[in-house]
Amino acid sequence: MNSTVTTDTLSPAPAAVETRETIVTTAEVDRSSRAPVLLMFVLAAVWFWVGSLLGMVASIKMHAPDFLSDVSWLTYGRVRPAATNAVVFGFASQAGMAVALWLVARLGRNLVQGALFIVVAVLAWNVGVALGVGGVLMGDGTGYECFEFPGYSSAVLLVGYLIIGAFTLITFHGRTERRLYPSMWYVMAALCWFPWVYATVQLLLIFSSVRGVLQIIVAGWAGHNLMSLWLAPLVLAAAYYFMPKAANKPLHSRALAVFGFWLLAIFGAYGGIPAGTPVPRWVAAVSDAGLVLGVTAVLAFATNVHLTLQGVYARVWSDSGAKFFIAGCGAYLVVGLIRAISVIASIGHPGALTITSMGTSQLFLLGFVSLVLVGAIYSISPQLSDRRSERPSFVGLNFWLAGLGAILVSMPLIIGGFVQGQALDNPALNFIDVVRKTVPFMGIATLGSLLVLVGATVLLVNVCRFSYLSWCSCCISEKPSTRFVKISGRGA
Amino acid sequence: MNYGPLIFLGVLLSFALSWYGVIFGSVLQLGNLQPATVPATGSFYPAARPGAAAQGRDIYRANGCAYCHTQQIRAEAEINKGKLVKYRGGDVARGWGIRPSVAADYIHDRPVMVGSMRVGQDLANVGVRQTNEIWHLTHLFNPKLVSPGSSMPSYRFLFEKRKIIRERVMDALPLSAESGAESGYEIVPKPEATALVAYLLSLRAEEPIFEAPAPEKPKPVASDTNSVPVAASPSGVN
Ligand code: HEC
Repeated sequence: MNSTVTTDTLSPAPAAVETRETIVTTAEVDRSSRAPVLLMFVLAAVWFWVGSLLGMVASIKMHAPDFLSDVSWLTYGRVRPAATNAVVFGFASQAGMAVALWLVARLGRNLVQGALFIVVAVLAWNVGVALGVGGVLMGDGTGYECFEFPGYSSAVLLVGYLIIGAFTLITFHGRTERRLYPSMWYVMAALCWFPWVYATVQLLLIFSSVRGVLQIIVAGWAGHNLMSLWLAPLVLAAAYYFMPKAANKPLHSRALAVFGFWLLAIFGAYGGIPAGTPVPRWVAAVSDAGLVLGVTAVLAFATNVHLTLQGVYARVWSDSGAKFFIAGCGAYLVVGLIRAISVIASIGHPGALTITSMGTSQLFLLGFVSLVLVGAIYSISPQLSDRRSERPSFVGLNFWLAGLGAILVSMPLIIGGFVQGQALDNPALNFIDVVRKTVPFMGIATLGSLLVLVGATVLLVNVCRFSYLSWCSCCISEKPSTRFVKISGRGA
Repeated sequence: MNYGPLIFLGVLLSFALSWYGVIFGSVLQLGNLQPATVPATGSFYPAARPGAAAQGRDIYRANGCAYCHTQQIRAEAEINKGKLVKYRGGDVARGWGIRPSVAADYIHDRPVMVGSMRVGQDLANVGVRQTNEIWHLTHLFNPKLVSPGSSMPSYRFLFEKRKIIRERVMDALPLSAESGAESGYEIVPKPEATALVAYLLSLRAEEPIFEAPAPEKPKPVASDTNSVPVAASPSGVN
């Protein structure tokens, strides 16, 4: 069966739709999404590389504080947020939007609408990210975690987003396939949530400012939602699409997917303000309760994926492209469980401001978000170039670099945080000895960030090569190859 | 679930609930928070930061000190027969504060930088612990000079290295030769460094107020800003 000509929804589309003359072919859909999606992939890969480099510099500074410490724009407190924001907005959000656009066109069987406008908006988005990263390095960071981009860049970013989002919605609206596959719900929901979260931050923190601890509440709430209701649903949409593809069988349970979706929508919106924060107790309690209950959404997703893959794990794992999805979903589960456990463990025990928090957010970003998105990029880009027989190279190597890198960056920090927490609780121990206990963990994390950087380089080279190839095939109008391949990476 | 509008409605409603509850709810409760009255003296707390300290807060923000330092004391109250006996938790035991931080501590700040991770100490009350301006400047110039083994980066770019003309200027750092000072040169803090230190010295969120009283034992309320730090632990830099 040639997967490129079957419909991508849960079951094959009714024959009536296939035979309708107005139906667009998959090849046409792919061609319409080629320019904006490939452009976003290339720029996303560039930002991932920049973010990984800055992340490695920041990581080195944690155990070698004198490294590059004489230049103000490379001081730790600027490099760290610049790295995070480059990865969150430059890479993850951008690649997520590209995957979303591609999924909406593919699953809805509609040509991408307004591709030219999207291309312009993508450029605006990237100007916004560049201004933002530059601004943070120059010392203009706002001081709110995850939203350090100064006003002059976040405004550009938001305008770019609104255009991309609007045309994705228009593409969605004109879909010819009416049945909505779970990925579609996640994409559409994320596209609604993001502007709301981002605009709230801009209005209440950056362009004007609420009073005192209200800032902590807004920033904590928004920072949580940026991960949980923007990046996570985009990534879940990709996983829900590519997992069954890789397994070559339908998603185990649509009902469970519906259930998980609403659990995420309802509980996912609370978090980011842990107990002990100097805010009214009910705010922290609501936030923590939502965080713990939100694990149900993670479990629903993980169960569904597991049941889909049951029996075929070995076969799917042998496909280097599919490894990204399996490992990424595993990371999502681990992050959810660690967060819930630390909330429960912190009841009645104040403190817990350890480096564990950085470890879990790194695992979320580098393990879950990046792995799945890189897998999606590798699955989608060959389909966008006309030369479908071209395969990305070193995908397996990239997986091991990215996967081991994510583990080596996050796990030492997570474990080191527990050690640090124990040490902080013991007032007989001098603080400087507490510092000394955590430093070795930071050293291992640097090793991980080096692997991540090399992985990002492989990705960048691959993505650039693909764009170059499809650019050539566009201009030189080379006869398209007739060989069709499945999308789940090599073989499958 | 194939009906788009219904999904949209659900998605918007569930999120609106969170927005309305968490954001709007707290704005209603805290939007008008006013300085608290200190029970003992009847004065208002907190006072706005003086000009230099407010500028220093900007240096603190720009250089991201908050990625390594928190400004929030966490502690659980132990109450016996309606009276506060003491606070439990490592923060108080380390002498980082005598009471937990509360909303009132932050009303004048923008941005509020409570931080989320402690690589270095909590700084909510660093102005109580370390009152010496020279100590702070030297520490910023090279943390290892005053805190051997420190993993805090140096902020040398907040200082100027100048050739000594005739005599050292008044505000040059008193560095000894073995601390790396080149002979013939002096290290002078730029205005940014002085402002930053003014901010650090202004970090004194210890006033016992109604929401966060201090346990009675340690010492009576003193509003004397130069008083000795009230540290439960023997060493000030703990
Ligand atoms: C990479 C992490 C890091 C960054 C960034 C950082 N610090 Fe530190 N800081 C530390 C560590 C570790 C210590 C403990 C060792 C020491 O005293 O130097 C410390 C200690 C301190 C102390 C002494 C606190 C006490 O109780 O004695 C002050 C004051 C301080 N830092 C201020 C700052 C300021 C101001 C900035 C920003 C310009 C900053 N720090 C940035 C890690 C950091």
